[in-house]
Amino acid sequence: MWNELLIFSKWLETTRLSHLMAGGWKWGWPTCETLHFIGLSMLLGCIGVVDLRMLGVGKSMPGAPVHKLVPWAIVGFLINAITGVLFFIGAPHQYIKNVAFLFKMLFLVVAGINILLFYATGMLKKVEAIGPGEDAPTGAKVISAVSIFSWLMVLYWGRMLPFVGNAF
Amino acid sequence: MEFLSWLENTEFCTWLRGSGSIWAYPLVLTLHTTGMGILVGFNWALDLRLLGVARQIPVLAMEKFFKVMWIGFWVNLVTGILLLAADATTKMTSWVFGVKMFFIVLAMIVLVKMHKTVFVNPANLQQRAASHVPVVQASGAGSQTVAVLEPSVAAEEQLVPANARLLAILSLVFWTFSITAGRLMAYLGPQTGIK
Repeated sequence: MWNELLIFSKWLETTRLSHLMAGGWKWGWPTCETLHFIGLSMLLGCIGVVDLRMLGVGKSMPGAPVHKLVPWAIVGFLINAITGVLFFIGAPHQYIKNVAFLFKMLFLVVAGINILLFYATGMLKKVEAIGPGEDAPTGAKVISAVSIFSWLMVLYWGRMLPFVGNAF
Repeated sequence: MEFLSWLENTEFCTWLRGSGSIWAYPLVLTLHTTGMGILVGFNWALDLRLLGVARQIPVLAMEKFFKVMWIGFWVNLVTGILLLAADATTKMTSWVFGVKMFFIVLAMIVLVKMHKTVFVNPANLQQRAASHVPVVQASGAGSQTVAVLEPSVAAEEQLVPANARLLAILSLVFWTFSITAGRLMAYLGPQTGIK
Protein backbone atom coordinates (compact mmCIF):
# COMPACT_ATOMS: atom_id res chain seq x y z
CA MET A 1 0.00 0.00 0.00
CA TRP A 2 2.78 2.39 1.00
CA ASN A 3 4.79 1.36 -2.09
CA GLU A 4 1.80 1.98 -4.35
CA LEU A 5 1.39 5.41 -2.82
CA LEU A 6 5.05 6.19 -3.47
CA ILE A 7 4.79 5.01 -7.07
CA PHE A 8 1.60 7.01 -7.55
CA SER A 9 3.25 10.12 -6.09
CA LYS A 10 6.27 9.67 -8.37
CA TRP A 11 3.96 9.37 -11.35
CA LEU A 12 1.95 12.44 -10.26
CA GLU A 13 5.13 14.47 -10.23
CA THR A 14 5.79 13.64 -13.87
CA THR A 15 2.46 15.15 -14.97
CA ARG A 16 2.22 18.54 -16.63
CA LEU A 17 -0.24 19.77 -14.01
CA SER A 18 2.20 18.92 -11.24
CA HIS A 19 4.94 20.91 -12.99
CA LEU A 20 2.63 23.89 -13.36
CA MET A 21 1.68 23.79 -9.67
CA ALA A 22 5.24 23.25 -8.46
CA GLY A 23 6.52 26.45 -10.05
CA GLY A 24 6.06 25.94 -13.79
CA TRP A 25 3.36 28.55 -13.55
CA LYS A 26 4.69 31.05 -11.03
CA TRP A 27 1.25 32.06 -9.75
CA GLY A 28 -0.26 28.57 -9.62
CA TRP A 29 0.56 27.88 -5.99
CA PRO A 30 -0.17 31.40 -4.61
CA THR A 31 -3.49 31.55 -6.49
CA CYS A 32 -4.60 28.20 -5.10
CA GLU A 33 -3.54 29.22 -1.59
CA THR A 34 -5.60 32.39 -1.83
CA LEU A 35 -8.62 30.47 -3.10
CA HIS A 36 -8.09 27.88 -0.34
CA PHE A 37 -8.38 30.64 2.30
CA ILE A 38 -11.45 32.12 0.63
CA GLY A 39 -13.08 28.69 0.50
CA LEU A 40 -12.14 28.08 4.13
CA SER A 41 -13.94 31.25 5.23
CA MET A 42 -17.01 30.47 3.15
CA LEU A 43 -17.21 26.93 4.55
CA LEU A 44 -16.55 27.88 8.17
CA GLY A 45 -18.96 30.85 8.16
CA CYS A 46 -21.90 29.20 6.43
CA ILE A 47 -21.67 25.89 8.30
CA GLY A 48 -20.95 27.91 11.46
CA VAL A 49 -24.27 29.76 11.27
CA VAL A 50 -26.11 26.44 10.86
CA ASP A 51 -24.20 24.74 13.69
CA LEU A 52 -24.46 27.65 16.12
CA ARG A 53 -28.22 27.90 15.48
CA MET A 54 -28.54 24.23 16.46
CA LEU A 55 -26.52 24.96 19.59
CA GLY A 56 -28.78 27.87 20.51
CA VAL A 57 -27.19 31.03 19.03
CA GLY A 58 -29.71 33.08 17.03
CA LYS A 59 -32.56 30.85 18.13
CA SER A 60 -35.24 33.07 16.64
CA MET A 61 -34.21 31.63 13.27
CA PRO A 62 -36.36 28.65 12.24
CA GLY A 63 -34.49 25.50 11.20
CA ALA A 64 -35.52 25.11 7.56
CA PRO A 65 -34.28 28.40 6.08
CA VAL A 66 -31.02 28.26 8.01
CA HIS A 67 -30.33 25.04 6.16
CA LYS A 68 -30.42 26.99 2.87
CA LEU A 69 -26.92 28.20 3.73
CA VAL A 70 -25.55 24.66 3.43
CA PRO A 71 -25.12 24.82 -0.39
CA TRP A 72 -22.83 27.83 0.15
CA ALA A 73 -20.78 25.88 2.65
CA ILE A 74 -20.52 23.20 -0.05
CA VAL A 75 -19.30 25.84 -2.53
CA GLY A 76 -16.55 26.70 -0.03
CA PHE A 77 -15.76 23.02 0.44
CA LEU A 78 -15.54 22.39 -3.32
CA ILE A 79 -13.18 25.34 -3.81
CA ASN A 80 -10.99 23.82 -1.12
CA ALA A 81 -11.27 20.27 -2.37
CA ILE A 82 -10.17 21.33 -5.86
CA THR A 83 -7.31 23.58 -4.71
CA GLY A 84 -6.33 20.98 -2.10
CA VAL A 85 -6.05 18.26 -4.75
CA LEU A 86 -3.97 20.65 -6.87
CA PHE A 87 -1.54 21.17 -3.95
CA PHE A 88 -1.26 17.41 -3.62
CA ILE A 89 -0.64 16.96 -7.34
CA GLY A 90 1.98 19.71 -7.20
CA ALA A 91 4.02 18.26 -4.35
CA PRO A 92 2.71 14.82 -3.31
CA HIS A 93 5.82 13.88 -1.36
CA GLN A 94 5.48 16.71 1.12
CA TYR A 95 2.06 15.41 2.09
CA ILE A 96 2.24 11.63 2.11
CA LYS A 97 4.98 11.60 4.74
CA ASN A 98 3.45 14.42 6.77
CA VAL A 99 1.76 13.57 10.09
CA ALA A 100 -0.17 16.84 9.99
CA PHE A 101 -1.62 15.85 6.59
CA LEU A 102 -2.70 12.50 8.02
CA PHE A 103 -4.53 14.24 10.88
CA LYS A 104 -6.08 16.75 8.50
CA MET A 105 -7.46 13.92 6.34
CA LEU A 106 -8.61 12.06 9.46
CA PHE A 107 -10.69 15.02 10.66
CA LEU A 108 -11.95 15.56 7.13
CA VAL A 109 -13.27 11.98 7.26
CA VAL A 110 -14.79 12.63 10.72
CA ALA A 111 -16.53 15.75 9.35
CA GLY A 112 -17.74 13.75 6.36
CA ILE A 113 -19.11 10.85 8.42
CA ASN A 114 -20.77 13.39 10.71
CA ILE A 115 -22.59 14.94 7.73
CA LEU A 116 -23.61 11.49 6.47
CA LEU A 117 -25.01 10.71 9.94
CA PHE A 118 -26.99 13.95 9.85
CA TYR A 119 -28.79 12.87 6.69
CA ALA A 120 -28.86 9.11 7.33
CA THR A 121 -30.50 9.45 10.77
CA GLY A 122 -33.29 11.60 9.32
CA MET A 123 -32.02 14.55 11.34
CA LEU A 124 -32.62 16.92 8.41
CA LYS A 125 -36.39 16.46 8.68
CA LYS A 126 -36.33 17.07 12.43
CA VAL A 127 -34.14 20.14 12.04
CA GLU A 128 -36.32 21.59 9.29
CA ALA A 129 -39.29 21.29 11.61
CA ILE A 130 -37.69 23.51 14.26
CA GLY A 131 -39.69 26.70 14.67
CA PRO A 132 -38.42 30.11 15.72
CA GLY A 133 -37.20 30.07 19.32
CA GLU A 134 -37.34 26.28 19.58
CA ASP A 135 -34.48 24.10 20.82
CA ALA A 136 -32.82 21.72 18.38
CA PRO A 137 -33.02 17.98 19.21
CA THR A 138 -30.06 16.69 21.23
CA GLY A 139 -28.86 14.59 18.30
CA ALA A 140 -28.62 17.69 16.10
CA LYS A 141 -26.71 19.50 18.83
CA VAL A 142 -24.17 16.70 19.08
CA ILE A 143 -23.74 16.61 15.29
CA SER A 144 -23.26 20.40 15.24
CA ALA A 145 -20.68 20.32 18.03
CA VAL A 146 -18.77 17.54 16.24
CA SER A 147 -19.02 19.55 13.02
CA ILE A 148 -17.51 22.71 14.52
CA PHE A 149 -14.78 20.73 16.27
CA SER A 150 -13.81 18.66 13.24
CA TRP A 151 -13.68 21.62 10.82
CA LEU A 152 -11.52 23.56 13.27
CA MET A 153 -9.24 20.53 13.53
CA VAL A 154 -9.04 20.32 9.71
CA LEU A 155 -7.97 23.98 9.76
CA TYR A 156 -5.50 23.44 12.62
CA TRP A 157 -3.74 20.48 11.03
CA GLY A 158 -3.75 22.19 7.66
CA ARG A 159 -1.98 25.14 9.21
CA MET A 160 0.49 22.77 10.89
CA LEU A 161 1.58 21.23 7.55
CA PRO A 162 4.65 23.48 7.20
CA PHE A 163 5.62 23.25 10.87
CA VAL A 164 5.09 19.60 11.77
CA GLY A 165 6.09 18.16 8.43
CA ASN A 166 8.02 20.81 6.49
CA ALA A 167 5.48 21.33 3.73
CA PHE A 168 5.69 24.71 2.07
CA MET B 1 12.83 51.75 11.91
CA GLU B 2 15.03 51.54 15.00
CA PHE B 3 11.96 50.84 17.07
CA LEU B 4 10.82 48.13 14.67
CA SER B 5 14.17 46.42 14.72
CA TRP B 6 14.29 46.65 18.53
CA LEU B 7 10.76 45.22 18.64
CA GLU B 8 11.46 42.20 16.49
CA ASN B 9 14.64 41.48 18.42
CA THR B 10 13.05 41.52 21.85
CA GLU B 11 13.36 38.25 23.71
CA PHE B 12 9.65 37.54 23.27
CA CYS B 13 9.60 38.17 19.51
CA THR B 14 12.76 36.15 19.01
CA TRP B 15 11.13 33.27 20.87
CA LEU B 16 7.86 33.68 18.97
CA ARG B 17 9.63 33.62 15.62
CA GLY B 18 12.44 31.21 16.13
CA SER B 19 11.80 28.83 19.02
CA GLY B 20 10.50 26.11 16.73
CA SER B 21 7.84 25.26 19.32
CA ILE B 22 4.43 24.57 17.80
CA TRP B 23 3.01 26.61 20.68
CA ALA B 24 4.80 29.74 19.48
CA TYR B 25 4.52 31.02 15.91
CA PRO B 26 2.45 28.12 14.52
CA LEU B 27 -0.23 28.48 17.21
CA VAL B 28 -0.50 32.25 16.77
CA LEU B 29 -0.70 31.79 13.00
CA THR B 30 -3.40 29.13 13.35
CA LEU B 31 -5.43 31.37 15.65
CA HIS B 32 -5.05 34.16 13.08
CA THR B 33 -6.43 31.89 10.34
CA THR B 34 -9.25 30.70 12.61
CA GLY B 35 -10.17 34.29 13.51
CA MET B 36 -10.19 35.14 9.81
CA GLY B 37 -12.48 32.23 9.02
CA ILE B 38 -14.86 33.28 11.82
CA LEU B 39 -14.94 37.02 11.10
CA VAL B 40 -14.99 36.79 7.30
CA GLY B 41 -17.07 33.62 7.16
CA PHE B 42 -19.92 34.80 9.39
CA ASN B 43 -19.80 38.21 7.69
CA TRP B 44 -20.13 36.47 4.31
CA ALA B 45 -23.07 34.39 5.56
CA LEU B 46 -24.77 37.64 6.59
CA ASP B 47 -23.86 39.24 3.24
CA LEU B 48 -25.42 36.31 1.40
CA ARG B 49 -28.61 36.64 3.45
CA LEU B 50 -28.79 40.38 2.70
CA LEU B 51 -28.32 39.58 -0.99
CA GLY B 52 -31.31 37.25 -0.91
CA VAL B 53 -29.88 33.80 -0.10
CA ALA B 54 -31.99 31.88 2.44
CA ARG B 55 -34.57 34.69 2.39
CA GLN B 56 -36.74 32.97 4.98
CA ILE B 57 -34.11 33.53 7.68
CA PRO B 58 -35.46 36.42 9.79
CA VAL B 59 -32.69 38.87 9.09
CA LEU B 60 -32.84 40.55 12.50
CA ALA B 61 -32.13 37.22 14.20
CA MET B 62 -28.71 37.29 12.57
CA GLU B 63 -27.64 40.18 14.78
CA LYS B 64 -26.54 37.53 17.29
CA PHE B 65 -23.69 36.65 14.95
CA PHE B 66 -22.13 40.08 15.31
CA LYS B 67 -20.83 38.89 18.68
CA VAL B 68 -19.22 35.93 16.96
CA MET B 69 -17.70 38.21 14.31
CA TRP B 70 -16.29 40.53 16.97
CA ILE B 71 -14.67 37.56 18.72
CA GLY B 72 -12.99 36.74 15.40
CA PHE B 73 -11.95 40.38 15.05
CA TRP B 74 -10.33 40.64 18.49
CA VAL B 75 -8.56 37.29 18.13
CA ASN B 76 -7.11 38.55 14.88
CA LEU B 77 -6.18 41.97 16.18
CA VAL B 78 -4.19 40.41 19.03
CA THR B 79 -2.62 37.61 16.98
CA GLY B 80 -2.04 40.04 14.11
CA ILE B 81 -0.10 42.41 16.37
CA LEU B 82 2.02 39.47 17.57
CA LEU B 83 2.73 38.29 14.01
CA LEU B 84 3.55 41.86 13.00
CA ALA B 85 5.88 42.39 15.96
CA ALA B 86 7.76 39.18 15.19
CA ASP B 87 8.50 40.39 11.66
CA ALA B 88 8.20 44.15 12.15
CA THR B 89 10.91 45.59 9.89
CA THR B 90 9.75 43.54 6.91
CA LYS B 91 5.98 43.79 7.35
CA MET B 92 5.98 47.51 8.11
CA THR B 93 7.86 48.21 4.87
CA SER B 94 5.77 45.84 2.76
CA TRP B 95 3.31 47.50 0.40
CA VAL B 96 1.33 44.24 0.25
CA PHE B 97 0.81 44.46 4.02
CA GLY B 98 -0.39 48.04 3.50
CA VAL B 99 -2.91 46.87 0.91
CA LYS B 100 -4.12 44.15 3.30
CA MET B 101 -4.62 46.65 6.13
CA PHE B 102 -6.36 49.10 3.81
CA PHE B 103 -8.98 46.55 2.79
CA ILE B 104 -9.44 45.24 6.34
CA VAL B 105 -10.19 48.78 7.52
CA LEU B 106 -12.66 49.24 4.66
CA ALA B 107 -14.32 45.87 5.36
CA MET B 108 -14.66 46.70 9.07
CA ILE B 109 -16.17 50.12 8.28
CA VAL B 110 -18.66 48.32 6.04
CA LEU B 111 -19.43 45.83 8.83
CA VAL B 112 -20.17 48.59 11.35
CA LYS B 113 -22.21 50.49 8.78
CA MET B 114 -24.11 47.30 7.96
CA HIS B 115 -24.98 46.87 11.62
CA LYS B 116 -26.30 50.45 11.76
CA THR B 117 -28.22 50.20 8.50
CA VAL B 118 -29.92 46.88 9.11
CA PHE B 119 -30.06 46.33 12.85
CA VAL B 120 -30.10 49.71 14.57
CA ASN B 121 -32.37 51.25 11.95
CA PRO B 122 -35.33 52.74 13.91
CA ALA B 123 -37.96 51.28 11.58
CA ASN B 124 -36.42 47.84 12.01
CA LEU B 125 -36.31 48.14 15.79
CA GLN B 126 -40.04 48.80 15.77
CA GLN B 127 -40.60 45.83 13.52
CA ARG B 128 -38.50 43.70 15.79
CA ALA B 129 -40.44 44.74 18.85
CA ALA B 130 -43.65 43.97 16.98
CA SER B 131 -42.57 40.60 15.60
CA HIS B 132 -40.81 39.23 18.64
CA VAL B 133 -43.60 39.13 21.16
CA PRO B 134 -46.06 37.24 18.96
CA VAL B 135 -43.44 34.68 17.95
CA VAL B 136 -42.88 33.76 21.57
CA GLN B 137 -46.61 33.46 22.15
CA ALA B 138 -46.98 31.46 18.99
CA SER B 139 -45.06 28.44 20.25
CA GLY B 140 -47.96 27.59 22.51
CA ALA B 141 -50.70 28.69 20.16
CA GLY B 142 -52.36 26.86 17.27
CA SER B 143 -50.61 26.60 13.91
CA GLN B 144 -52.99 29.10 12.31
CA THR B 145 -51.96 31.81 14.74
CA VAL B 146 -48.34 31.06 13.96
CA ALA B 147 -48.98 31.50 10.26
CA VAL B 148 -50.53 34.92 10.85
CA LEU B 149 -47.95 36.13 13.30
CA GLU B 150 -44.78 34.92 11.59
CA PRO B 151 -43.36 37.71 9.48
CA SER B 152 -43.74 36.90 5.79
CA VAL B 153 -40.79 36.77 3.42
CA ALA B 154 -41.99 40.00 1.81
CA ALA B 155 -42.12 41.75 5.17
CA GLU B 156 -38.68 40.37 5.93
CA GLU B 157 -37.33 41.77 2.70
CA GLN B 158 -38.55 45.23 3.65
CA LEU B 159 -36.23 45.01 6.63
CA VAL B 160 -33.29 45.00 4.26
CA PRO B 161 -32.78 48.55 2.99
CA ALA B 162 -31.49 48.85 -0.57
CA ASN B 163 -28.12 50.19 0.52
CA ALA B 164 -27.64 47.13 2.75
CA ARG B 165 -27.30 45.11 -0.46
CA LEU B 166 -24.59 47.46 -1.68
CA LEU B 167 -22.82 47.08 1.67
CA ALA B 168 -23.07 43.30 1.37
CA ILE B 169 -21.40 43.38 -2.06
CA LEU B 170 -18.67 45.72 -0.77
CA SER B 171 -18.13 43.42 2.21
CA LEU B 172 -17.69 40.36 -0.05
CA VAL B 173 -15.23 42.28 -2.26
CA PHE B 174 -13.19 43.96 0.50
CA TRP B 175 -12.72 40.72 2.45
CA THR B 176 -11.73 38.89 -0.74
CA PHE B 177 -9.10 41.57 -1.41
CA SER B 178 -7.74 41.52 2.13
CA ILE B 179 -7.46 37.71 2.18
CA THR B 180 -5.74 37.83 -1.21
CA ALA B 181 -3.26 40.50 -0.09
CA GLY B 182 -2.66 38.63 3.15
CA ARG B 183 -1.80 35.44 1.32
CA LEU B 184 0.35 37.19 -1.26
CA MET B 185 2.50 38.78 1.45
CA ALA B 186 4.47 35.53 1.22
CA TYR B 187 5.15 36.10 -2.48
CA LEU B 188 5.21 39.85 -3.19
CA GLY B 189 7.15 42.67 -1.58
CA PRO B 190 9.98 42.22 0.94
CA GLN B 191 10.41 38.72 2.40
CA THR B 192 12.03 37.21 5.46
CA GLY B 193 11.02 33.68 4.70
CA ILE B 194 8.67 33.48 7.67
CA LYS B 195 5.63 31.52 6.57
